[in-house]
Amino acid sequence: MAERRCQGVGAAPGIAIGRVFRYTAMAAVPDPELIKEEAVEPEVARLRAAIEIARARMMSARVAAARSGGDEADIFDAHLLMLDDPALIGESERRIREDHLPAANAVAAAAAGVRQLFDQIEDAYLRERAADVTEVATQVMRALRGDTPPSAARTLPPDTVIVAEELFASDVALLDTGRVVALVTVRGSRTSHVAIMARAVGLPVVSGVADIVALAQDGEVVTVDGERGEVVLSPDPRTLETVQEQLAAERQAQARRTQLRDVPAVTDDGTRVALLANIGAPGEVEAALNQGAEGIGLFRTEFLFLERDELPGEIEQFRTYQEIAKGMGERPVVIRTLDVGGDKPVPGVSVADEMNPFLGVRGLRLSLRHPEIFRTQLRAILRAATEGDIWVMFPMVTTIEDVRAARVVLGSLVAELRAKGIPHRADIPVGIMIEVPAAAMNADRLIEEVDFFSIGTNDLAQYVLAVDRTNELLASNYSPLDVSMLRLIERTVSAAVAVGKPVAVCGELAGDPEAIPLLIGLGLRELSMAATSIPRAKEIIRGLRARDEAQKARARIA
Amino acid sequence: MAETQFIVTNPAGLHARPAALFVRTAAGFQSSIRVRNLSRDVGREADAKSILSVMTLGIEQGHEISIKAEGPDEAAAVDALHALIDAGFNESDAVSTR
Repeated sequence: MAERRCQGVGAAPGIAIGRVFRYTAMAAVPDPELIKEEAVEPEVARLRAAIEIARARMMSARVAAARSGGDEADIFDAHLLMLDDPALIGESERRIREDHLPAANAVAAAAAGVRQLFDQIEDAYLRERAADVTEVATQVMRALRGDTPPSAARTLPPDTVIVAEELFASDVALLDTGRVVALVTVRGSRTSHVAIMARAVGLPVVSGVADIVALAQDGEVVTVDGERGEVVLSPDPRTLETVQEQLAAERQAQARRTQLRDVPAVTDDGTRVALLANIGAPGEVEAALNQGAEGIGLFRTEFLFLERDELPGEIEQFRTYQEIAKGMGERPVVIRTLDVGGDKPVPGVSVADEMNPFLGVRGLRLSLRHPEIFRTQLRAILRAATEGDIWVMFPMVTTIEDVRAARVVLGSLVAELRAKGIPHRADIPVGIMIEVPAAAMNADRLIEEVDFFSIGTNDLAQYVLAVDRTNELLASNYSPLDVSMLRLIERTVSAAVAVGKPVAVCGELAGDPEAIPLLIGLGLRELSMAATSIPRAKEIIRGLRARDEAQKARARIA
Repeated sequence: MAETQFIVTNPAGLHARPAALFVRTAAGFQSSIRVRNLSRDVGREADAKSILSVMTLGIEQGHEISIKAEGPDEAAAVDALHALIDAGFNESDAVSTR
């Protein structure tokens, strides 16, 4: 076979070389042949059995997705509800009984009817949920035909590249990533559930490759570049060699970073930098340690409060914080108190309609207005801090009065715990996020009130530049390395360094290869980032000279 | 029969995840519960226990909706669903990552 190059959209990065396995289940529903009256009830029973098979598959997909973390498990909750839905399943049964359609055609017709209703919705996001209906209906039709999901293909050899019209989230959740090395599909996008889940497990995906199922042959050698969206069928020896080199380089880089895990981040001229991880749940502690994190620089506690009907109690919070502290051993764990507001509501915490939630009751402002929530969380933190090395940090601090108000609450709780004889850590280090420009300007005064700073560069940039970073129209205006930002960071760092107190960056800049040299140059010696960014950051830092970077940084802000 | 009408303030309306929560809550009641989107298609009534019917009402922020329940626990059902929507459905995708 001659080499054929196909271009699609890179949906999940990574390079792979493997052999094609075409997954062609449910290519099309055959034209219906009407069933006889006596066959109607058996056909309904067949539909119900198929629904149960689909349900079992979705439930295992849900479990697999929940294990790998993230929000994708919720998708399957909605899908499972659809399996009981009168509009889809009731309608399918009606079409078997009244129109004498075979089960697969009945499901296809019912799904088409529901999709028509979705098509009339004005809201684009809701309209696109029609894809969920297609997925659920397809799962039922697969079960009806006795098709197994691609994960169940027992014959899948190692280094398989699955080529399909379309794959679903449940398919990816159940894939054996030891055997499947890449996915190529005709339909799908970067933002599909499939792409998000594949990125989480490091599986390259190229979507939007027209006619790939017809073009590819089973067992044919194929190379996949999930970054550039390139797929090459039966590559020429020269092409194959190039891709093999790229793959080897990628693996080597990965291995080099793994080796780096246990070596410290020290610049070429001997400056030590501590690299910590930002996490959002206790389950991420292990990954943080595997990447070489020297502590947790930011534990976002929001997950305890969201996606549930009631507020988390003290015991539940205490256990969560203690679990993280235990997992990290002697290493520091910075727990940030609840950081929500009008833009991200929590049940039971009503915030009045705000014209401008980012300038509204958020973070510490909200905690101070809801003393019951704040006190419960601080009590849990104080008690958990008898284990490991827990620090507490307040978000969205603007003034010295904010800090003092928070400290009053903390002090009263320490007194209360002491009076009751409940074990706690009275001298817990107390710090604040520097993410409001006013706080950065007053850093020299604020540092007198606290034990440490952590600079939240995402919000700080948003406030300093007056740019909503989620506004696509302003994407080019969002420049977190603008001189204004560098000056505020420098000001904050100097204030803390002058009195010998720790200062870190825990925003996205901390893990940004372009920003790291600058941050080191500005005097930062602690960076907290997504765990997966740590090895790369270490590599960069080990290639720097702190003195040179300081000179460059000084020139930038002069 | 119990009925309430109000305006949805949840920024994301009633998309897949909130709809799932809404439908699961509705399913916990014996009463028959019907939902209408008064801002879009007054005539169409959806079964509150059917996620697809609820989703295809196309409920967005600012829409006025009506919830009507009939049965032994009708008042509690209407109250619970109203409170759920008011609470904003614990939107996790609105959490800022810092």
